[in-house]
This record gives sequence, structure tokens and C-alpha cells, in this order.
Amino acid sequence: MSNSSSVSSPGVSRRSRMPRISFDAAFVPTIIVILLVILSIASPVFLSSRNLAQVLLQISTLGIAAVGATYVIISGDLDLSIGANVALSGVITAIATMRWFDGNWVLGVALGLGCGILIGLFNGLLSAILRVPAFIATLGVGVIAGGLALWLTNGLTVSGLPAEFAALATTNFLGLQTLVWFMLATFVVGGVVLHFTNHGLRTFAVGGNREAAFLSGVPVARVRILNFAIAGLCGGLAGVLLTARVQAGQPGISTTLTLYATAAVILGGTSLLGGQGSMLRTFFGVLLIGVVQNGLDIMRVDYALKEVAVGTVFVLAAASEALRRRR
Amino acid sequence: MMADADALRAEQVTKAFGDAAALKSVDFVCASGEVHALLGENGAGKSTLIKIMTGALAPDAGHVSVNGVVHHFRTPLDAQAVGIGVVYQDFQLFPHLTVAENICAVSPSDVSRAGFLSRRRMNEKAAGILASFGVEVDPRREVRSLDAAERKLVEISRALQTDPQYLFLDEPTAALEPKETHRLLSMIDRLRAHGKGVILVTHRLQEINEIADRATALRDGEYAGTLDKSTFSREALSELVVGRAVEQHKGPQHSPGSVRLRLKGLALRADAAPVEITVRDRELVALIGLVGAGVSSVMKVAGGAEPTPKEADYVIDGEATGLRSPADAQARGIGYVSADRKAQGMIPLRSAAENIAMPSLRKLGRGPFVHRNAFREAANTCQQVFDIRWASPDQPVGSLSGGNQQKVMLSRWKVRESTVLVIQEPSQGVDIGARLQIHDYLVDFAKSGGAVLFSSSDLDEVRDIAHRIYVMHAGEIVAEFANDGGHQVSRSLLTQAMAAMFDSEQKERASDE
Repeated sequence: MSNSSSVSSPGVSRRSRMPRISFDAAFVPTIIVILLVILSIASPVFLSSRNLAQVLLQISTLGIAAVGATYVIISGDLDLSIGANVALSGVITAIATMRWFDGNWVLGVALGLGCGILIGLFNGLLSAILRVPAFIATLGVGVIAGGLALWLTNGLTVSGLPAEFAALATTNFLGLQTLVWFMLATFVVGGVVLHFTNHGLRTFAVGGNREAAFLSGVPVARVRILNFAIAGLCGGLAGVLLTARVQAGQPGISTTLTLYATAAVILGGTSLLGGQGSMLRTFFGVLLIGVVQNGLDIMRVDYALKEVAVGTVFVLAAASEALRRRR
Repeated sequence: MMADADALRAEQVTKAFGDAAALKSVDFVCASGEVHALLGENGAGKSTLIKIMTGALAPDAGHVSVNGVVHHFRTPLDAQAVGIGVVYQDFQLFPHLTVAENICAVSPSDVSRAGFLSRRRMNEKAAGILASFGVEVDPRREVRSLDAAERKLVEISRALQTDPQYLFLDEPTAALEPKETHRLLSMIDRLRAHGKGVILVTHRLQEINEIADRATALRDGEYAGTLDKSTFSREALSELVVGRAVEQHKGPQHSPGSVRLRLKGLALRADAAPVEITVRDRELVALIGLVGAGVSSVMKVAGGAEPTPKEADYVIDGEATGLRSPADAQARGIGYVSADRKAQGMIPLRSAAENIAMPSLRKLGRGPFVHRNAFREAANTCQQVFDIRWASPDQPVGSLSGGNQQKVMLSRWKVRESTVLVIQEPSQGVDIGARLQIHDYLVDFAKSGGAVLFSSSDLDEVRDIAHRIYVMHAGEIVAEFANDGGHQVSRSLLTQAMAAMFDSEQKERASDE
């Protein structure tokens, strides 16, 4: 009916749309390269392999969480429970290992991951079956999970975890800690599933036009629930590995992680409206945040000012992106 | 070229976007007091010409003149200042504001005193504009409470407050049904009587016959010719647009087989008789009715877009199982095409190939991984069958023209090997050439054993390709006409039936014919 004439004008749409994608995709990497150049001039330490490994280590938890967030955002939803998921999964891992399974950390890890998946399934059921808006459903689930983490631990850190468990995250392999390898592997697996499987294609379809996807036979509810579960699993994995890295379960950890993970996805260029984006973009979004934070650390910027600077980067990157789109 | 007074002219207008030429030395003249239809397939250059003549785009060469004076518009406001108005195809009203507020939003200072809006003056001004063109809409009503025709009339009224001498109407009837279209055409008639020049863009030849004085077509960015009212006919107009003689269907020429679908006991309203329809193999069946008659509800249930209600009885291939979901319908061989491609059909940012493959992922490859080569192969086959124009099957479907988008929607079910098609508005937003191709496809599909149930607000389309026609009114089926072997049912009879101005005597006469 209202098939706007804008789509039918010859040449115009075709020309402006096709090459723009590659330019878009190059935007964040370009900023990162510029930052790398500036920072390496400002400080000789920055480009040392030790510091670059540090950058990757710093973004590992964020990166794993952002992989999950990418799925949920592309299918047109939002997950605001990631941070609390990481906290609760980590706490459960620690408590299960120390108190329930008598030091058997493998069972603890299994329970932690299971907790993450369960939180994701819960988000999915609320959003896709009961049709609660994802924003409020995942916010509520997040508040519950965060509260449970505090309650289970009385707000205290659960420490004394076995060294073998810590080794899960901190073993050095080819110059990088295993935590970093876990993140890279998550990105690779996440990228392959998103871009090369039927589930990935359906994810883009559901986010691109939910009604049309349903009418063409896509099991919309199942796709959405599965993506929430994937995000939950990523949250659980991040929680487990973070707990291993610090060798303790901390209920109050990663409160800002939710928004950073979402911001990383959006900064990378994935649309908050759904139906558009890629895993590589999310990786660059995460990397951008890591480089900025690390650069500020190296230049010994005051903690509070660091926050100001990170926020400024978010705003500038988003604004320049919006400006280029309008052009 | 001599520029006579009182005409809007585009002279030797040329425009290219990069390497793609959109307009090549196009001339166009609309005299005041004339309704001039502007025709052309999607991509022929109509939109570009309108944009240039209304100041939204600057031409690369050539110019626009108004009443003999050459102008070089830099913005749409420049064009407005010399008496050119435009109403675009998509609704551009504020739904939560009143009619008067919408009309006065253009220049609120006219109806305010010391910076405060006067609601009384606003309503008076709006009422004045509406009344002078015979629009019977209360200016105090909220726009969202109006029907599609009323909204269009209000939009036109809004464009009229600057008192343009020339007014562009870009597919004003695209979203309207026949009765509403009639109201719109009578407003256009009054605009003409007021001495205004109206440039009417439409794909519907019937409207041109009814209202236009002249018709000019563009073809591939070039001027294709102008016809005068005296030489109008469906054939002549089609040929002008498409560029070759075209053969319209005159009813299907083959006979149907045995019953394929029987939908029974579908109660749409408490006070209406339950709907019962049947569709045979090899048969094309049309379902028509005014908005609110229940056509789209029946189509949704028949196509599986909505689950079969408990009380209804849906027999497919002799099995009375009903349908639970679109996926279920597809598994039973039914493909559904919605009337609203934008909201319910396409996934606009994804490629044409992916859009085509979406219901057939299992069919096009095993395992969890996407088989892109199979997608492209399927898409290329469909491109041959439907003559789809795209740069490549990887082009986002949202960037294709209406006709090509509709062909992509049909391609889905070709790849899925559906044997039943349930289609709402097969040629909505589709140009004349593509419309004929779609009709050819549907008739061939039925000939080779398929069953087609379609709804349409285009009565020519219904008469051209349907074996049988069901007419709905107020939630029930009020008439059924046989139409095989030719145009057996007149347009006026169908119109009367839809409005339920139809008595049993006529019904009998119709079935005798």
C-alpha cells in the first residue's frame, strides 16, 4: 500500500546503499587505529606487547558478555540482566565449589553456566511467550538476580577457591591468558553461528521485521528465546571466568557491565532497532572501549575523570555515526 | 519552445544520479484547469520529475517554468511561493492532532494572536478550506479517527491553503478502495473546476479514464508520449506505459478441477451468517468487499496467518485439521502473501535471495548451516520466471521497486513449491507491466494444477483473472459470481454488491448470465 516512492527511484538507493556498508564497517576500526597512533606517541609503553595483552585481558569479560548481547539486540530485543547474570553466575560457581561440592570446581562451573542459561531462558519466556517488553522483563530479572547474589553471600566476597580453578582463566598460553583465549573463541563461535547458520539468518529476519518473519514461517518465539539463552550462557561464562580470575565470588561485581556491553554492540555499528549488525562490529566496539580505558590508565588519568572521558567517547562515536548516516 | 501563459512546464529536463540517468531531456506540460495523469512503471522517472518540478531536486539541465516564467528552485519553498503544491504518497499527517491543527500547522501565525493559538480561528480557517472543496470532515476530529480517504482529503486540503495553482498528487488512491477512490476523484474534479492544474500519478488506468484530460507517460527516464482524453482506452494507456502492445487477460480460459480448500463456519460477527468458501484445483477465486467487510480476516485464516478459530471448519485436501500457524500452512502447501508488504511481507534490509529462501531453509540445505549458493540458485531461477529486475540477488529487497518486491514475495512460494496461493492484493503498488506478468504467472500457476484465492480492490483485476468471485459485506458473503471464460460480471454489478445495494432479483439475473 504505502510503498513509498523513495525505494523505487532508480540508481539512488542502489548506489548509496551498497558501498556505504563497507565504509560503515571501517568506521570504528579507523578510530581505533587513530587512537593507537596517538597513544603510542603519547606513551612508549602503550605499544608494548605486554600492554596490548593487558588491553585484551581488560576487555575479556566485557567481550564475552557483548557476544551474547549482539544476538539479543539483532533479534530486536534488549538484555539488561547481563551484569547481574555475571555476578550471580560467579557467586553460584564460588558457593557451589566451596560449600556444596567440597572444592569440586568442575561441578561449580557447570552450575554457574547453568545459572546463566536459566536466567536467559527466563528472560526469553517473559519476553517471547508472555510478551512482556524485553526492556522491563530483563531489567526485572536482573534486579532479582543481583538481589539473589547479595542474599546468597550476605554481600560478602566468597574467597578461598582452589588454585586449579583460578588456572582456568589465568594460565598463560602463547603469551595470552586463557581468559583472553576464551573471549576470542567466544567471538569466533558466536560469529560463525550468527553469520553462517540458519539460526543466525532467522535472528536477522526476526529483528528486521518480526511480523514478516513469522508469516514466512520463522518460529519467532523460539528464535528469540534461544538468543536470550545464548546471552545467558555468555553471561554465565563471563561470570565463571571472572570468578576464576579473581579467585573469589563477588556479588557486587560488574554493575556497569550491562550498559558497557550494550554500548559496545551499538558503538560497533549494530542497530539498536534490530535486524542489522555483525559480530566483527561488536568486537571492534569492545576493542574501542578497551583501548580508551587502557590509554587513560597509562596516562594516569584520575578515576572520576576517566569516567568522564569514557562517556565522552561514547557520545562522540555515536554522534559521528549518526551524522554520517544522515549525510 | 513557446511558453504559453497559464501552464506549468518542464522543458528538456535531464537528471542523473552518478552514472544512472534518471531523466533524459523530458518535456512535460500541465495547463491550469487540467487534470494531467503522469504514468510510468516504477523507475521510469516519475518521482524524479516530481521532485524537480516541486523544488526538491535541481535538474542537471533544462528548467521548469510557471506561466511562461522560468524558475530555478533551490528549495520546495521556492516552488511553493510560485504556486506549486505537492501531496506525497505516504500519509504525512499528525495522527493525534485534530484536522484543524493539522491544516494550520503549516502556518500557525495566521490563526494566532500575540503568539497564542486561537482554536476558534483555527477551526474556522480549516472549515473554510474544507468547505470550499466540498470535503465533509469536522475540523475538530482527531486525524487518527478518520478513514483513509478522509485523511487523504485532509492532506490535500492542507496543501491547498497556500492556494497553489498547480498541485501534484503522488498516487493519492494507492491506499484507497473503490468507493473511497470515488470521493477523492470528485475532489480532484472540483480542483479542476477551481482552475487548478492537477498532476495525478497513478497506476490505475480506470481512474485515468474517469478523471484525466490528458495522460503523459515516462519510460526509462524518457518522454514516451501523451494521450488525449478522446483516445483513452485500457489498451492504449497500457501500451503507452509499457512500450508495446499488451494483452490483458479476459478471464481464465481453463476449467477448474476438484475441491482443494473448504473453509466453513467462520463467524466474523455475531449477527452475520458464517462464511463458507471453496477453492478448487486449477481455480482462481477472488474475494472482494469494502474495508470492514471482513475480506482480510477471511484471507488471514485461509492463508494461515491467523490460526483457524475453533468453531470454524477448514478442510484442506479432504483433511479437516485447520491451521495453527504460518509454518503449519506452509507444510500443507499453502503460501500466503499479505497486502502490506512493508509491515508483513519483506525483511527490507536482507537480500532478495534471503527473503526468497526464508520459508525454505530446510529445503535448500541440510544441517544448521546456511547454504548461500542454493539461495542464489533459487533466486536466479525465480528471476527468470518472474522477470525480476535487480542488480544481483544480494541486493536488499527494500531497495527494489514495488513490482519487483511483489515478485520476490511470490518467489518465496515458488521455491517452497506451494500448491495453494492465498494472496491479498496481488498487484498493489505494482506498475502495469509487472501487474500483467503477475497475472500471467497466477493464471499459469492455476493451469498447472495450483489453487489461487486472492482479494483485490481492483475490479478490473478481479474480472481479468478470476473464475469465481465472492462478494462480502458486513462480515458475510452476500454474493457469488461465475466469471470463467470472460468478463461476465460488470464493474457496476460488483460495486453494487459490495455496497449491498443488491436485491435477490439482480442476483438471479447475474447467475443466469
